[in-house]
Amino acid sequence: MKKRRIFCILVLAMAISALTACGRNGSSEADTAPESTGNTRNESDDTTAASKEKKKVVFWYSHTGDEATCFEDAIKAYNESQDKYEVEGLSVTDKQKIIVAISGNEAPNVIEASNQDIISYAANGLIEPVSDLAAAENYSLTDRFAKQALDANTLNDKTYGIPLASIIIQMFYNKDILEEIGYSEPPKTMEELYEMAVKATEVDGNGTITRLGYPLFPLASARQELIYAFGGRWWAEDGLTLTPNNSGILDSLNMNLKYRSLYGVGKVQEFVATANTNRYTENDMFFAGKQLFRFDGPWLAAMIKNFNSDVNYGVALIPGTEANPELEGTSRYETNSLTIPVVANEKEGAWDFAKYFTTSQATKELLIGIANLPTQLSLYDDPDILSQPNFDVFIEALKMENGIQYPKIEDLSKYTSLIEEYVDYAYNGMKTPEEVLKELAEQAKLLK
Amino acid sequence: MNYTRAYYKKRLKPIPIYLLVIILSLVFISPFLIMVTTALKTNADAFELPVKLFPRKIIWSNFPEAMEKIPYMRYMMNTVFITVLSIGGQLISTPMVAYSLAKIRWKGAPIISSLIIGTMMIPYTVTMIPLYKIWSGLGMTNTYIPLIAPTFFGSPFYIIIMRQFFAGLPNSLMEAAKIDGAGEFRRYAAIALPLSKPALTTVGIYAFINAWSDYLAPLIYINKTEKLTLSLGLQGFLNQYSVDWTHLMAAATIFVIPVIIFFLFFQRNFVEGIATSGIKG
Amino acid sequence: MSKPIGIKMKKSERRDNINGFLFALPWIIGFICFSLIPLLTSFYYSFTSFNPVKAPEWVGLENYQYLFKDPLVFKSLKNTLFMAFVSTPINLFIAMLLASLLNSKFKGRGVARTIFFMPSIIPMIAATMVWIWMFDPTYGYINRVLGFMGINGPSWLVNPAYTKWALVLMGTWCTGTTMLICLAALQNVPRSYYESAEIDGANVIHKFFRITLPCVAPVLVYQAVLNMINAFQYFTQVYVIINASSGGGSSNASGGPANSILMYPLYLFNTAFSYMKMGRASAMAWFLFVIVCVLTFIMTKVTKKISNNGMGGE
Repeated sequence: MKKRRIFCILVLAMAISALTACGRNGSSEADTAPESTGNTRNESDDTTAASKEKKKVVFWYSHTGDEATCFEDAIKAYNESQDKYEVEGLSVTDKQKIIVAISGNEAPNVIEASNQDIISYAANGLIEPVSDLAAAENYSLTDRFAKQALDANTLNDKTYGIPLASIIIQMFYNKDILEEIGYSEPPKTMEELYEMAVKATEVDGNGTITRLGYPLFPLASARQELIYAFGGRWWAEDGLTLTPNNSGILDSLNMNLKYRSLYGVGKVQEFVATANTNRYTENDMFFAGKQLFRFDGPWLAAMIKNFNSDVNYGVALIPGTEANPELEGTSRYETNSLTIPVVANEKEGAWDFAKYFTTSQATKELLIGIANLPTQLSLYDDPDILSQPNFDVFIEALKMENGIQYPKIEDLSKYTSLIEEYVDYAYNGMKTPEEVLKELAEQAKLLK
Repeated sequence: MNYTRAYYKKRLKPIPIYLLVIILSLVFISPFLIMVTTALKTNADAFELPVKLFPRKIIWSNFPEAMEKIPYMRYMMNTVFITVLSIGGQLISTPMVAYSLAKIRWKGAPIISSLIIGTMMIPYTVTMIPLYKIWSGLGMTNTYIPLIAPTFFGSPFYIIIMRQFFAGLPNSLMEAAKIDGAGEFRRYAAIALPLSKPALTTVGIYAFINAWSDYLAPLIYINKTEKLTLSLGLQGFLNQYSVDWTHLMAAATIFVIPVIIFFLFFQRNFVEGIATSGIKG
Repeated sequence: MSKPIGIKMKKSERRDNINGFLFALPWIIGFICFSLIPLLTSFYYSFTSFNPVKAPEWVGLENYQYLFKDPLVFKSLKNTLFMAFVSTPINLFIAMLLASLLNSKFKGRGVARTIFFMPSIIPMIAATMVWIWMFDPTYGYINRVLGFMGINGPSWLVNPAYTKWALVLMGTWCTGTTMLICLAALQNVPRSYYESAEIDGANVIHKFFRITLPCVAPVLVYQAVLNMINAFQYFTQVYVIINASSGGGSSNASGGPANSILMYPLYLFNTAFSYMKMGRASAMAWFLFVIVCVLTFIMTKVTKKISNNGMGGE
């Protein structure tokens, strides 16, 4: 009996909450309506009758938490700057959701996405070439944005994304550890880096690594920058030929494995696994002083500040090798860009907003807020940007314009998946580097 | 001497079993325990070494914080909405179909029965793309219709459970009603249905649990933040850089609790339902 | 057989046919709309090239040719077959073990049954998150417990050699449904069989292999089929694991360390919704369907053989 009564209450509670949910749906729509009419009343005198209502522009960005707040601030700045459009921002992180949305009935008008995604959307005909929109009104993209930033968003001579922020990776190092092992300067070559890494690595009684020297985490930079530093390239400069079997990659893998074998592959895995579990939290290995080198982006500095970590760190260009010191500072080059889906229903507003969002005072504040590097030439030497922690080093690297861009082949994601797979075989000691590169080359032949 | 030995033998015999059961129970319960205790820890506490099971200090605030980090209440409402309608759909359609197979002698019954078992074999991935195409063609993505509508047409697993149950009802009852002049629907609604409360409950709970935890379908069809379900919403704790473990565990705990409550209430129906579906299905 | 009765019979038969059809109609409509039509469309799609915005365009056998050249298709199929043929027997074994335990008499049996069963109703995403946390080599409890036993636990979700075993382990935790069915099957074994065996002096092991196993075999095989079909649909767990660990910067194409947990449905999902190759994905889906059908056919043949050999079933 008692059971039944409790159950009835439960069911009732569920039913009520379901009803209120619907109720809320309704009321929230009702809430927004008067707001927008309220705004238009003030400006009705100078606008035409047709644009009395502010047109709604939906914008999806891929940032969350505090970074989302920065995006919302910039959106607010846009909404206040003009009276034709009202932008509604929404944080959407799931790439697959974006794809479904931009091919469906409720597509946002503007999306922020990585340049690889933009190229892939473009190849599938999901987004508008913004270069056409720019050309139509003589809006020069090349005057405003760095060439590499535009290149990253260009497919078959059309630019599909307006670059908002540059992403490159450089070397963070722990100054205290460096001093402790007897160095005052960060390494200039990978050979030197290796030496320091070995000296800095500490293990406990069980052989567990308590301090990691070699920059094996984050995994993404271990698959890219750590290889680029040796001149290793997964693809040729033409952006079409795949070159999985080259000597730079082999050198990198060999040094990597030499380091791993000193402590045991299993122990390194253990450290990397845990570093991945607590990555970018207040217990992050680098913040906790358990990592000497870390190949990471400028946002790391902002996080260190946010978490009040007292790690004493510096930033330097990723070194080259003794044989090729000019490889210094080589990193992947990616952008976060804005793009407009083909099915967007308010393209004019979308374009207007995208222009503002990438080239205004609000852009600068946004980039500073999320600790991202500019794509805008005018911001390269901006004192406010340069005064951000370590931005000087990153901007120096940006100006070198030697970032590695992804090839624009159809099977890119498949290729990167295969690269990850085979590099993992090598890193986990399941295959020798020579075997790995040979087999990867075999597989790459099938890709387009 | 002899007496006491036999006595002890009898008393001590079950001890290995108890030991085994206790150890296994601990193993099976530990993930729940870890989920809850981690939810009660501060971040620093959760990452402290050596690992301790119980928090240094119990932090209840993780729960309200977790419910603020993602629009938890909103997702909960969405999930409840879908769940309630799905249960309703299953309870309407499933018994009807099952009744047709168990209590009406008609030519199609054997074919339908084998088809029902056959459809259980179709992997979801095979129908996924055309279904997506159909629903998006109808402009139904971002609505709950693709998630709810299929429940109104019965699911094989539930139909089998119900069919087993109906088959167990004595035919004499129906015959008597038939003689009294009751039509098929009357017989179904007035006799079969009221007698099958246990089976209906079983189906209801299954429908509840499946709708509550469904992941792939909302993943495909729902992409508006305010329309997400809880199982998708939990992903919000895996943000673009890091994983917020303590809050994630707190959110997961709140997510799991209704399921556990439901299960504890209806354990018996549940267990019986599964048993019948397995034996003869 | 007088004539009027014959007519009456036919009339009621016809009425039954109509009623039966009407009652089954919801499922028939559902079957046509949600299974049959999609199944056939999927088959058609598998010969076309299309994406969410592009209409299907006939390409003949190209998708299937590509399928057999794609290294990741075979990688993912291998991973999935591992789950089907390694995880399934282990799950059945654990389920049988737990069921036999619950079938013996002891106090608190109901509580134990609840505890063993509960994990299988927990939403997959919540369960997976907890396990990811437990699998961490430093903060996780699994390696800590192994450490107490003097075993140096691996990095479960980082070492490609262990990732699938981690999934297997997770699977054994959720084997409650199979366990309950096994339990019911065990309880259906007639007492008298055991009693007569005891008179013949059979021991526990003898009894298990001579009586219990043959009696529950049909149920076990049926469960094996269901478990295997489930293994071919293995998706949520790996999707969540990969999402949770990809903040290190993996691309969305990732399939875990060395693609070791790239399951077939996940790769199919990515092909459709990330790479936007829906025609290709449909071909993958049909390939999977054929595999599942063949395996199920073989398994049901085996079941029939077992039940025809006597002892089993009712």
